[in-house]
Amino acid sequence: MTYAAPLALRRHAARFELRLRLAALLPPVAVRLAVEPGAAAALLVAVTVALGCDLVFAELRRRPVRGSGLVAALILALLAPAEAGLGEITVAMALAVVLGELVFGGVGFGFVSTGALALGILSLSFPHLAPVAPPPPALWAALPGAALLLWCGLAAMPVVLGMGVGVAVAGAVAGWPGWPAAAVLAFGAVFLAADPFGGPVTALARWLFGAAVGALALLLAPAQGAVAPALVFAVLFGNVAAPLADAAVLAVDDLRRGGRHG
Amino acid sequence: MSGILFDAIFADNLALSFFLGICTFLAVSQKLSTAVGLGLALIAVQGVTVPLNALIYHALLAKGAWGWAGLPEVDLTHLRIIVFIGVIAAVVQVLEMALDRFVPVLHRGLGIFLPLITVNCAILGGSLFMVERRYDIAEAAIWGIGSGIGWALAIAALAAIRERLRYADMPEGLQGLGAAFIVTGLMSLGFTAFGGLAR
Repeated sequence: MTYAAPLALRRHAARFELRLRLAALLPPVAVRLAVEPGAAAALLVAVTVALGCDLVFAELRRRPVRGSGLVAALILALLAPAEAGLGEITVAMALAVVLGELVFGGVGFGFVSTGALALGILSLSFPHLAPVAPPPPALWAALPGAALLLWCGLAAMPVVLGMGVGVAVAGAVAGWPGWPAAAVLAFGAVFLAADPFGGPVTALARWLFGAAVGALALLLAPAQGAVAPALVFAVLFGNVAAPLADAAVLAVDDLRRGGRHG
Repeated sequence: MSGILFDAIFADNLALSFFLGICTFLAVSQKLSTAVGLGLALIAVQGVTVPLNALIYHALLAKGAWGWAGLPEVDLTHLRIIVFIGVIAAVVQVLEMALDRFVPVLHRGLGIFLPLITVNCAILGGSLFMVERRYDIAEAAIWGIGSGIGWALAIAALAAIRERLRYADMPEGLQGLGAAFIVTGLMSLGFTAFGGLAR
């Protein structure tokens, strides 16, 4: 694993996981705000709703405030369409942070990528509000953060590489979607699919998960109208199947070992 | 044909798109191994009963099926539910005896839910969809096996998620069934991806 940071640094990163993930998302969000100043209100509302839900749960359950939903709020601010009203953002954000994280015990305890869940709920509840691709400068601005997350192990490299394979294979079958769509997929690979809490944990399952999400995102794109909403739903499906993929990989591993030793 | 198979497994998933068979789905999903066993049992039952019911429906119940006997006006479609249930009950009975004999561990693990497959709405729903969509025998066989696989995948995925959630920090009132309901909702959201892909 030559691409990863030394173990001591990765342990350190795990302790500051939330801060690092927020830092990685700040540049692209800032760029989007610079390009579309109108998105500032959505960002403000999303962050406020996330913190508000977090506070309520912390108060009721006597747990510390741990910043649940903040990453999802930034992702929502980055990928939500400009015409999304503040009420709609509020509904999507509140449902995603409560049903995706807080009922399971807060950030890190859920099993879906909360950012993808927020976008999925937004586009399912209000069909005219499908996720949009971030403006190209924002995608460029996401590069340093993506590198940071991958290096620290907060985004799993096998998921991203697997997704590359899935996109390449599906692209060979269904037609190459073009570089802008590929850039959106790459962004989604690091920030949505390789969510540290929303995917499988065994290496082989991570490859399979990445490949399935990548291929699915590309194949769903014509039906969804664009690659961004297809990506969101592909990630959600991947999250649902991920624990089963892990269990299957472990079971096969068990069988192989059993076969070898006795 | 592959379209029917794909729809049956993903887009028209009986558990997560139509919410059929949810009682068993929620109740027998605490343990992955039991869930997989029930899923396999359901694939077997669904794979046998849907084509069998299709055969009976086309040969005896459909309007005009008695035309060869000089009774073209006879229409027995109103009997389909009771006939389908009878076929399903018989197949489940055979399956239960087979499991008791050959896989007693699974038989004990499934407990009351094995005979209850008889009244599992996913099974009856599978046969009724077959009628409603006018599948022929071959299509019915594909649809039966596919919808069984879809339901089995869904319950296995739910059980895997619930096993992972043992380490979660859920409010007391939501542990167990409450969590299963929420997870089922999120899973259904994940499966909507395929809705736009139909056919």
